Amino acid sequence: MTEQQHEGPTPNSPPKQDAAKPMMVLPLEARQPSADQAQAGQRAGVTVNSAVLDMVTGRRVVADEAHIQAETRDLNHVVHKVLIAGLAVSMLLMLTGVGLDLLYHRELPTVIPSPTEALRRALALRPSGFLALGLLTLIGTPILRVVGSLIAFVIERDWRYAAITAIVLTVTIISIAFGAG
Amino acid sequence: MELLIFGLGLLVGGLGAMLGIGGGVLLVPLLMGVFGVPIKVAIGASIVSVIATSSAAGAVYVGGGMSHTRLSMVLEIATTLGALAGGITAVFLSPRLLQGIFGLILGYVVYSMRHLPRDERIAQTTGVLDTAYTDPVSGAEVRYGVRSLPAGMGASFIAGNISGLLGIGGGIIKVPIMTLLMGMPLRAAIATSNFMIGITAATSAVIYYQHGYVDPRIAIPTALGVLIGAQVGSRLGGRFRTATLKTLFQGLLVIFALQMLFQAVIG
Repeated sequence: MTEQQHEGPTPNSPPKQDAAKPMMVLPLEARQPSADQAQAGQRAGVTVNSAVLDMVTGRRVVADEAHIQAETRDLNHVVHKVLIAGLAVSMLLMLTGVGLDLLYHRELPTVIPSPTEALRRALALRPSGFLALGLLTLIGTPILRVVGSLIAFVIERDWRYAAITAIVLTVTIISIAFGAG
Repeated sequence: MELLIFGLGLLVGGLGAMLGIGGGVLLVPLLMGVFGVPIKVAIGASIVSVIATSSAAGAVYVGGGMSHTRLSMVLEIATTLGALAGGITAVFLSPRLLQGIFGLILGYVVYSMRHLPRDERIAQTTGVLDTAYTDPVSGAEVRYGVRSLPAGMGASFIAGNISGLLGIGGGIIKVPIMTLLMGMPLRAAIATSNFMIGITAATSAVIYYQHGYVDPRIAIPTALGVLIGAQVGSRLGGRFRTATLKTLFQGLLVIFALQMLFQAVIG
């Protein structure tokens, strides 16, 4: 493939420009769906209307590399969302637990209940339930991040990385099983 | 006591973020020394805090495209296996032996901070896992590939192992290998290492949790403190000269190392 390999700003345009302006004006021929684009769309396992894609992203999915970069960006997006959501939820649960604890003037518990017991206690508005769920969510956040990446790779039909991610997840599951046993 | 632990977390998180080094190496000795927390409970609290900071930092790095997500997936096979082994070992090891190992690692951390070069190398593409990021300072696109993947896997296993064993992040082991051997730019190496720490720490945390070493009274104030402290520290980081702070930090580590080793030998 020649030129046009990297997406994003061209060397002489200021960085981050096209992210802010999705409706970049492209030469007419650039908006025609090419064989490469169709191929890239097929590889991703989704039907992409190339013309629409070009209008939205302001770029052409031309080469393999460009495709991988776009895929990586989607993946990063999923990972980013999962991490932020996990952190926010766990902080909220922990702060609720600490708040309730202060309200009831109780000592924080020393032992943590099992996940189901934690959920039961949280439903009964007991501080220890929220605290345990907060900790579990915090520990579970990176694990969910791996699950999210695995799903993203499967959707993209990137089997090699789906397998790599599945191995990582398996190791973590073995760890959970060991802890329980 | 919870409020004091929270304060300790704030301090350690802030200091760690300002120096660009995980706070875990300070947390465990301080929780033990100041609050008399047993070593495995201190490690349990530390590992939870490490997850919190890695998730927060990871979200920022990944959002900015700074961490090499694909490479991290590959290396995570090694770090999680290491963490699994480390977590299992730590549960069975005697507290004294753990203290001895901790002391030795603290010594290595000081050595690594003082003697291993941290200079930026010129990024080169190698055809293996080539990727690119936009340098936040210059705005230029930096393209690079990786070398010596097996060495990276080896270092990742050891880093994961020590992380699982002692409740620290392990970046101090991965980052030098990633820059010196694998040829990664420093920024990308730090971001990628940080990103990997989350799942690595979670793998051993589930073992600590289920064995009752994650005490909510200690782990929660620590994690909240470290997380908030790290946000403050990373904003303050650029405004102060960190050289004096670094020397102070290293001095503390040497004291803790000696204390840990002394207690391990004398008991």
